[in-house]
Amino acid sequence: MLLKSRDIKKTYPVPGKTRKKVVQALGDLEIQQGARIGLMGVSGVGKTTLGLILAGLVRPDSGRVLFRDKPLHRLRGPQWKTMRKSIQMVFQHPESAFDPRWKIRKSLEEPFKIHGLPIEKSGLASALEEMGLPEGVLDRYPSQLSGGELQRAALARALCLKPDLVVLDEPTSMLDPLTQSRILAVIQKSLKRRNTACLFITHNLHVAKAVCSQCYVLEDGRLENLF
Amino acid sequence: MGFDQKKARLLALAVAICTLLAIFAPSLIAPQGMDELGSPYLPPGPGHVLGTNDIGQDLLSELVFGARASLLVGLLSALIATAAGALAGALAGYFRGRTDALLMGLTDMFLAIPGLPLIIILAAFLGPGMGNIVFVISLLSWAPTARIIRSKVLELREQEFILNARCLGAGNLYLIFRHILPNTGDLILAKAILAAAAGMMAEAGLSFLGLGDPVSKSWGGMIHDAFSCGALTNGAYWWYLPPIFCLSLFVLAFSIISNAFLQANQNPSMSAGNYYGRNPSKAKEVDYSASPAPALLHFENHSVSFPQRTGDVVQAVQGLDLTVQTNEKIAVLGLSGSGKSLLLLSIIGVNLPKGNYSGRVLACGEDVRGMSQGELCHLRRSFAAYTPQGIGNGLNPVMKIEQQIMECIPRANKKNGQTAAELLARAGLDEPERTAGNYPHRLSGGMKEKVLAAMALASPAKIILADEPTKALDEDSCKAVTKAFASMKDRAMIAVTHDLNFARAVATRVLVLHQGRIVEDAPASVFFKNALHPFSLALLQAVAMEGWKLEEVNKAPSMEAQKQEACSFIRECPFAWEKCRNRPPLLNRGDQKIRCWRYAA
Amino acid sequence: MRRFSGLARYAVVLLVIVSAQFFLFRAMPGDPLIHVLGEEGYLLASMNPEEMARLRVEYGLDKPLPLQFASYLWETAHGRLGWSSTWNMPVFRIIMDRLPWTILLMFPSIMLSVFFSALLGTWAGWTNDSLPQKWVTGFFLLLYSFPGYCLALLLAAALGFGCAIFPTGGMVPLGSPGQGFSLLDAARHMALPVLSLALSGTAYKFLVMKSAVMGITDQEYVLTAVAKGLSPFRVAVFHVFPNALPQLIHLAAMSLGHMVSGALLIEVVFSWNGMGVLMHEAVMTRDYPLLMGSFLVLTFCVMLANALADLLHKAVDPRVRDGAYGV
Repeated sequence: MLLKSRDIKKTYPVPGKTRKKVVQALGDLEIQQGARIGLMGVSGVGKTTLGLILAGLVRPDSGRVLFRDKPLHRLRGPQWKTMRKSIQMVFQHPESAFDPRWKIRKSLEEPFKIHGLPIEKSGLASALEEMGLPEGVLDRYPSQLSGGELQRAALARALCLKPDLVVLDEPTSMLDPLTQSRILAVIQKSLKRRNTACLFITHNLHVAKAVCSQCYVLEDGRLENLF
Repeated sequence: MGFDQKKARLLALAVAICTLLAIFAPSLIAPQGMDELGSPYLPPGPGHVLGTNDIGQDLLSELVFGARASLLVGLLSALIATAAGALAGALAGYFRGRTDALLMGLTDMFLAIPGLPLIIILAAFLGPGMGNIVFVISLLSWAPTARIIRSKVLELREQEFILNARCLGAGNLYLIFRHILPNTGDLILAKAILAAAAGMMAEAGLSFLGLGDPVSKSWGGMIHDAFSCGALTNGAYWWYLPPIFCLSLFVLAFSIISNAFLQANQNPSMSAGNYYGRNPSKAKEVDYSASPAPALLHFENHSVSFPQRTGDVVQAVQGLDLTVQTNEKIAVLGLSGSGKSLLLLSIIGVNLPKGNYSGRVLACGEDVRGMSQGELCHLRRSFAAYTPQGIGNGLNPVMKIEQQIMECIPRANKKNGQTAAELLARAGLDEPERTAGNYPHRLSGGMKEKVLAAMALASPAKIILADEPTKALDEDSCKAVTKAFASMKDRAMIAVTHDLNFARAVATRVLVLHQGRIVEDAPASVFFKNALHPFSLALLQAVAMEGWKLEEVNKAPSMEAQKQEACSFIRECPFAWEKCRNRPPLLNRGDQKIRCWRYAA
Repeated sequence: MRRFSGLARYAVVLLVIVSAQFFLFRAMPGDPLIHVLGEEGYLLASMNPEEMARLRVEYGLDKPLPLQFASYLWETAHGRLGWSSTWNMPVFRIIMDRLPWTILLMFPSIMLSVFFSALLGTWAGWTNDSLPQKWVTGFFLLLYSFPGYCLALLLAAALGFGCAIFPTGGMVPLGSPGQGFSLLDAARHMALPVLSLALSGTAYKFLVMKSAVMGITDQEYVLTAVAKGLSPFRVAVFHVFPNALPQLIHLAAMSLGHMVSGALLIEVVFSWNGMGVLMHEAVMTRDYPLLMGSFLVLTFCVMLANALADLLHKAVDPRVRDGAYGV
């Protein structure tokens, strides 16, 4: 089992509101190696928070997340480093996915630098190629690219460390339908090729049906199996 | 404030040189040392360019040495205050929680305390001396910087590239020093320059009260001397005017440079020119209700292009010809950024970004672009009603819904008109009375969109311009909004949308835009049965609600676009062939118009 | 974000400042009695050890520190701010004599500067491209870089001594014996100080207000309003200004501390018998209790005005009324 979560609960204050927001996901969620899992729910139900928790970026107040049968949020040192390499996340807003001061090349090299790995020049280009972007994109700034191109580049960055799990948080909801379907096709193809598991967060049933083999829905604080 | 970058940089250089000279080599510039005494109270003249003071010191020399003291205090205090403020702001914004509460509590306190009285007390306690003055001033001026840096860091922290870097395994220190601080750099610099100006002013105030450093006299000290020796009453203007003007000159220069830095930091595309308030001139009443022979709305070779800084020209709309008849409802489809919103805005001549506009937009035969402010107001009031997207903040947050709707009704129609509640009910809102008395922030996105629809209903306009009315609404709201728009039978409409259900329910005619050009123009019934252009097909396939099939387009690699002449869709078109290297014309095929060589006879 | 809301926050700030003053006194090198008696008084008293011991008991300096602190807080809360040895009067009474003068100067200046910055700032932000707007902005930018008292000096030199239109000092208390009360005379005395304070206050508020209005002009609801076909004037008055109003109130409150600082210096220029001159004299005579008391009272006034501004803010913004911002 790659990732398994049970009865997660997280409470956090929202700026400007007196009441704290409670995100609850009672029930089990399991992700096998190479599986494509969908997570649906109406807006405001806490899909993104759950995604952040499962990606190990936010610590839940209660509940359990097991990554390869070890508690995800208790990993330390080299184990934590390995986990950070194996779980990646792509977010909703492509225009803020890259440091505006850096060229795309630098941003794509960043994961290698953080993990102290050698950078292959051809590797970057082929990663972009896989996402359907020309090599020339590397020498551009994020502000010079369109939303679709940025999201492709963000996917390339997320996949370049060869992770086991990618959490995709509505990666196409800010794009127009045509770009959306193109990018979804690219995602599906390269996940299949690499046998990478994904957790695809979306509020669109058609998208979920198109991409995922199994889908959960988060409703009233509980996780149900949709299909 | 309208300083451009180049001038600001020159100014910064000049100020830097003056500052360096004054601090490190004052004796080079000053004509005399401070220990050489001449006759007192000499007015400006050949021996002493700026005259002498009460004990006969040369005032120009005193001014130069005073610059040293003033600038040194200003810069040092700015350095300390900015470093402390930036650090406090970065820590508070990055770590949030308790660190934030503690640091910001402290900041709030320092912001609320009246500055000068505290400086006076501290200076009185600590005694004179430049070090003490610098300390006291920086103690009081770190707080605003901390506040601003904190809010910038809070904003940056939520940016996804920070989350992404964390996800890649980056630590806190890496994030703060590689991503967050570099991205606040310009802001910190701008604030530091302002803090230097503020520091100089504070020092001058302190010295003016006689609490300055008695050893190295600053400009404030000179003003103090002049004031306390009665230069004001005995007319020794040469004593107090030069330090006052030097002080404000430097402060002015600092503020201008800082401002230029801040503006450079802003996104240039965000500050598109808004000409709302210009040219208010009297309206020449055009009677739109008389509906003469010309079509309701007519675009004639309408083109918009934006020259970029790099020298490229972005063509937003290219050679658009379009005629809208009375009661015709047009849905405009296309990718985001293909100039659709611009199309709507150019009809009412509002909020247009700076660029090159050519061609004509005729409303009932009158060219919109030649209209005066008053005529445009009349046009917007009685010809075209624009509804922005409901998810944005298209409604005034501090005005009641009722008032905002009633504003749309011209005064002449008010007596026999409907109430806001009736209009809201017609737009499909469930509790119209309650909503009418409410403020926008209490409404959901769907309700706001319905309010905007009610505003369109309220106006006597002949044509409704809707910008993505169903964007980002949930399914039920989508249906209700579609219903509301479909009920406007007696008006023409141009709706920009991605929502095919909306287009199907409302439109009588569909227009597909690609890269600023019409590629297909067809009656709605024909379009949804038999769209012809490859781009339309791709669009329909992508948004078709049933049986979404993901299909990757195989590019024809040999068909790379030669930008200007080729068909705009050539790179992604599955059918592209040799002929597509030239742009196809708009071809007629029955009711349909298609811009594609496949349908050339 | 903020742990304390509304009035509680100001109360906490005041408490912290009051405590800080106490500990600042105690942390100073030397005998705390110096600060109470002044240097001369201390020197005189130190001749006589018995007298010193008596004074120590009288001022409660023999008690343990927490007890001293408690009694200090108790006294401060009741307005007993200490004894000024130079004036031989309770500090609070001296301040109460002077404070109305400063308020007399501040109040019209604040009203004028808020009014003009609102008017001109909205106009300048709204007609962002016009030439007159650029001139006005340039003028205020120049004014902004003039410290208030420098402006006062220039005005005094030009209008007071140069043309002798306005008096530059010698304002006497209204209704003091031997002086007929004349509104015109008071206005003539107030003209220059109020003008310089109001001008320097307007400059800053104008610049902030202008950029606030420019930000609002870019908002979508202004586009909606313009697209409705309302006249530019109507849009500015009903849609732009009401949205800038909360910011203006906040700005006026925030700049109050600035205005106080400016007022103190301007008072010195015009020998206006208010808090500024009082503090100046207190500094010169090293009268620490008076200095501290003045600071405390001024801070209290600023906090009070800030709290009022918060309430006002609530009244003009429905979002704040609903607690959408948690102010």
